[in-house]
Amino acid sequence: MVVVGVVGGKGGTGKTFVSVNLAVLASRNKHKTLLVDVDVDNPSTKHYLRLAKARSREVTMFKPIISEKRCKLCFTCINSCPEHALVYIPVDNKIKLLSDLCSGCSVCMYVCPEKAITEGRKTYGTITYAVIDRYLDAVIGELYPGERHTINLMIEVLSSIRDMVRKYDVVVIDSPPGVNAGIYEVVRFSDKLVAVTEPTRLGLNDLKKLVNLILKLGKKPLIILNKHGLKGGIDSEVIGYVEKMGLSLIKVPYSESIALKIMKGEVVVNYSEFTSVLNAFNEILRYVVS
Amino acid sequence: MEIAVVSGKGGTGKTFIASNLAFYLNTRVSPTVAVDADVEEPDLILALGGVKETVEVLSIGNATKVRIVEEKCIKCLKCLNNCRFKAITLLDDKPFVKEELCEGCMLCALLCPADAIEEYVKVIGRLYVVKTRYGELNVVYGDLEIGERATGKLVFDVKERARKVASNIKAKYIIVDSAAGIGCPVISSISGSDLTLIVVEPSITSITGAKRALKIARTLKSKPLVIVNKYDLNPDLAGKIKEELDAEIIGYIPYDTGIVEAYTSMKPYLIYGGKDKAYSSLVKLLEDLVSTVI
Repeated sequence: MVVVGVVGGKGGTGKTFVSVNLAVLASRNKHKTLLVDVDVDNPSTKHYLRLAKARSREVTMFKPIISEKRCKLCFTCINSCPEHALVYIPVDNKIKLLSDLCSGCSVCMYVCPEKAITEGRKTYGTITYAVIDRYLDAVIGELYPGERHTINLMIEVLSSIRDMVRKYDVVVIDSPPGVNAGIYEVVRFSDKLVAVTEPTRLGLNDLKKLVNLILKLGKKPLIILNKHGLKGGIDSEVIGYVEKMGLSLIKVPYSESIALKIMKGEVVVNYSEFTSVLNAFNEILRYVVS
Repeated sequence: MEIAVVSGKGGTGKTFIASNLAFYLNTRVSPTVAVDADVEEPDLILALGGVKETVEVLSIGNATKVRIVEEKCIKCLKCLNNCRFKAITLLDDKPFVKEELCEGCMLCALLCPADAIEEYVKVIGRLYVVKTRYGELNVVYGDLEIGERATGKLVFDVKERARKVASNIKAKYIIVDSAAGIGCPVISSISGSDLTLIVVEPSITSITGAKRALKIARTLKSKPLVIVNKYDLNPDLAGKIKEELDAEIIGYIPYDTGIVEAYTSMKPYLIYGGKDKAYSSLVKLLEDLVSTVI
């Protein structure tokens, strides 16, 4: 079993493209594969695949329930809330929760001397488990729009698959853009890392941050230079940087017909005419299963 | 007037639109302040051709964190079992705090029977006020320590500083280039803005992301307007975006590798791209925006 984290830094470099095509190719080679989408703000792997037998479960977090009967208005909870999510409303003479500000830390419940606060739950997203075909399953986290607990949900998705991953030969994790605590967790969780970049200044700038994060955690990423040959791009600068860092690199070429296939929600390795893309993904797969 | 530029999905062209809108307003209409609200990966300044002068650098995001004092710890694991953020894990059979996951709520300190939890404050980022090399546009951006998370509060702080800069230089416009996604930092980017520009490309994933962003803009009562970028890469789907999103579309911009070339040569596209494919549609969009909406 191998867990591959697909990360990228900048948005739109091709993380989902690499994740989906790698997972499909692995499953086509009869590796039992699990595709995990932790880009919970905008999970998009599902647009490329037909999900069968999908079942979703709601993900909840702590929310304080204040018993008006028990509350003596001592304000200990208000004074202890790190997010200032509890306020006293004089006209009602009661304490109110500002749900949007609450981080769910539960400090209020423990500090209340009257035991007037108990544990309630609030739903902030879903995790979907689905079958794609005989060799491919998917797990997809999705945050409810307006909720702010992106990283909590990413961690929930990762914990929920911790016991499942053993059943698979290959686990591919598609992650969101950015370099934050959630990406840290993806890097920690993964045996191998694939960092997807593009030959633009913005892509390279963000790649450097990401590579630093991965190296800091004692791991080494394989770099995918996606959209290789993009007109006006800085391919040689990216390649120079990757060489300087002593990392390996695989190029995936750019063409408008590839871009169109992706935009239409198609899996490119399923089309035999894109030989160079298929070759690149075969190479990535060899790295993953080696 | 505050304008947020968002997208839901990454890589659709937020920074392209935000940089050119800010540059255009500043050079042709009225003084403007640009804000890079993507504090994990601030790239707006690259799209504007780089820095001429750094005006101000401040520490931001003083975050409370905890560490466990090993000599006092009795390994009861109350901290680990009760932390709602899964920030405490076992390392060599001892509880260990993953710093970047710690929210600083101090619940662990409250529950620890051995008084083994120690609090400290960490500066997690810097805020920069700079002037760009081209057009001396004022840009305010935050830059986080690697691995720290962008929060709504940080974005709020960056925007607050931008508002001060704007009032000092009597700027009429603040343009906020948001991060990808729809989480807390994006909500904060949109919050308080008069207008939200949603940049969408004709891909299924981008349209889904745009729908989610649209929902947030409407909830926060910021007027949403849609820009379809790279429309010619998938004209069929581009034609369906209006219907899909049920929102006003203010322009269609073709795919143009001149944008990549402009980034490569470190020049704002409006200076670099005079003969390029997207130039005329971009300028028309900016003119329309100024004459009708702004």
